[in-house]
Amino acid sequence: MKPDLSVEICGLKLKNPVMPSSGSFGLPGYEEYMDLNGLGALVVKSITLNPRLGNPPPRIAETTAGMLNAVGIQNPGVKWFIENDLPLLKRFTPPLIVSIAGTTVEEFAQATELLEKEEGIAAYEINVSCPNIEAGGRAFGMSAAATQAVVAAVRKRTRRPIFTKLTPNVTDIVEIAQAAVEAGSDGLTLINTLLGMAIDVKLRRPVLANVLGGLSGPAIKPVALRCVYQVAQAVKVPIIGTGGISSATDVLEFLLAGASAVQVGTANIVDPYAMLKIIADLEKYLAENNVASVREYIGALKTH
Amino acid sequence: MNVSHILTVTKNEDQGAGYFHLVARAPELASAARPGQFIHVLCAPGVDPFLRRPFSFYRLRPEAGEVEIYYQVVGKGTHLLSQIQPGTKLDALGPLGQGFPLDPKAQRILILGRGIGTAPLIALAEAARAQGTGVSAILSARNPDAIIGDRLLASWGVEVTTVTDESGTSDPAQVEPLLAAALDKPGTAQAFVCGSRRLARLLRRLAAARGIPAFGSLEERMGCGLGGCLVCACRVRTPEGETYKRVCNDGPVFPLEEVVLG
Ligand SMILES: Cc1cc2nc3c(=O)[nH]c(=O)nc-3n(C[C@H](O)[C@H](O)[C@H](O)COP(=O)(O)OP(=O)(O)OC[C@H]3O[C@@H](n4cnc5c(N)ncnc54)[C@H](O)[C@@H]3O)c2cc1C
Ligand SMILES: Cc1cc2nc3c(=O)[nH]c(=O)nc-3n(C[C@H](O)[C@H](O)[C@H](O)COP(=O)(O)O)c2cc1C
Ligand code: FES
Repeated sequence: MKPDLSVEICGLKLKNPVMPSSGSFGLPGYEEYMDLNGLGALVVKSITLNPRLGNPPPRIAETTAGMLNAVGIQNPGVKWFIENDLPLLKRFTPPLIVSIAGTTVEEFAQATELLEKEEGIAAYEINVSCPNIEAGGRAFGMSAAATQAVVAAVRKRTRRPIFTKLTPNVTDIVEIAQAAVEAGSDGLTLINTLLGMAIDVKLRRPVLANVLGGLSGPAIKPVALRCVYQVAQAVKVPIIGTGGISSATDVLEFLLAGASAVQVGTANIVDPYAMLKIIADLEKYLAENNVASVREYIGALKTH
Repeated sequence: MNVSHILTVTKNEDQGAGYFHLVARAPELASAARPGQFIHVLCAPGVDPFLRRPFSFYRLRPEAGEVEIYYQVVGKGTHLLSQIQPGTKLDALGPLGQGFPLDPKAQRILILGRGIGTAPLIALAEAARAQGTGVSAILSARNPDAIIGDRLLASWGVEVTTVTDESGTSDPAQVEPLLAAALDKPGTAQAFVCGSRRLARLLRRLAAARGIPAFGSLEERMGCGLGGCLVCACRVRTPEGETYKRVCNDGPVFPLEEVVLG
């Protein structure tokens, strides 16, 4: 019998638990290279109220089993997204999750208001990893109060499910997770990238023009798993796990730790077909191990 | 279109001056690719090096089912690539990017290459020749050994001018009159540059003064190579102001008048 890969998360029916993470996969764009309808859901690059130019290059540095990026949330702004990208993205069958970012609470609120007028959006992901310009550039997600303010502002304007995407660059991720849930977040995505840097010894300069960047890829998987595990112990809402996933067994590790679905980011950057391979391998793994449904793994970690 | 290919290396030879010439069997890729496009290569299996490396096509030989790249060993990835033996399989994405917009009716084109940057211009010159377009070439490098493609071009009857740092002839001020004379050759309809921002600025100025469209193949550090991650930013001027385009997908070939050559 074919194993059942489907999962349901905050009312979203996914035919498998694998979706791209925001910013790592061209949506729209990659329909040119593959059938996007094989994915569990579609998550777009974070959109802000106004267009953002992004950081100057170099924006990427290779690291051990991973990479640093400093794209700076380059995006054409929510109006452009609605007029140009959304009509294309609506044609695909997997649920569409729109990632919203902003530099003030008001920007999140206004972007949500504009998106609310549109059909074809299944849920929002709130990227609280951007600098909060009203708090000296500290990321919203680094403070429980700022996270709560952003989530509450979006919550007030939508009945669509909200996933708040947490940053690992905090002392206690559980505290931030609880704040997001209290403010009305239906689910959580974790983790975003870890703040890092790379230095070119010959030039005695940082590799990234922005000096600092976000670390991603297999190198961060243990940190991401730990975050998912800790948060899953503390909150009841569904979790989407992300950070360094590049194989079917990685997916199952995140489900065991407490995630109900996963996002693949950096693995797509090395191989655009990574998710399709992971989904095929997942099905094969379950069949070989006589597991009827992938859901059997969710939160099923044995700790003693 | 599936852009994932497994290439079989048939030749990977040291050319001296730190350059290698790699030939690989990849019939689908060879037929689909155009000059100016590139492949994005995993230089070794596993996670070290972690990212792919981009290389432009040096020659495309669809009739033989082969593609060729010419590369310079500069770091970890290219070093590992240089160790590969014939018969090895290579994981590559391609063909990627927008190629050179060669005008099918051009009577003559000019190519201006510096160092390893000449590699993609060879594929362009070969395509130009195949459609009956004349080619003028100015090639620059540190020293004569670091000039690539000059013999191949000469064997095609292309008139090649070489300038080098060693002989003190490669300075933009000295290249200027040579470039001006080449652009002024009757019928020169397009000009292409790769491998030097200084030469690109020079070409932009001289070509603009003559109303000749000029294009450059640019480089930037890449992630996906497919337009999905936005790391390969290139600053461009548009009617709405300056913005960033993606070298991998909007380029790597851009009209010189559009790019900000810092
Ligand atoms: C569109 C395009 C076409 C290219 N075509 C050729 C070619 O035909 N022949 C050739 O020899 N080289 C070419 N290059 C440059 C080549 O990609 C780099 O030399 C190579 O990536 C260096 O890898 P490395 O591991 O040896 O060096 P390292 O310095 O160890 O690399 C570290 C990181 O920086 C990146 N990087 C370093 N130098 C460059 C560079 N110049 N451009 C882009 N990324 C760089 C690497 O990809 C890697 O991610 C091209 C680059 C681009 C963008
Ligand atoms: C190039 C790049 C761009 C990214 N852009 C965004 C973004 O716009 N919004 C966001 O929430 N996360 C962004 N991320 C973070 C990823 O979505 C993901 O959370 C993180 O990379 C960890 O997962 P991974 O190790 O599988 O990549 C980006 C990551 C990369 C590598
Ligand atoms: S390398 Fe990813 S967009 Fe160009």
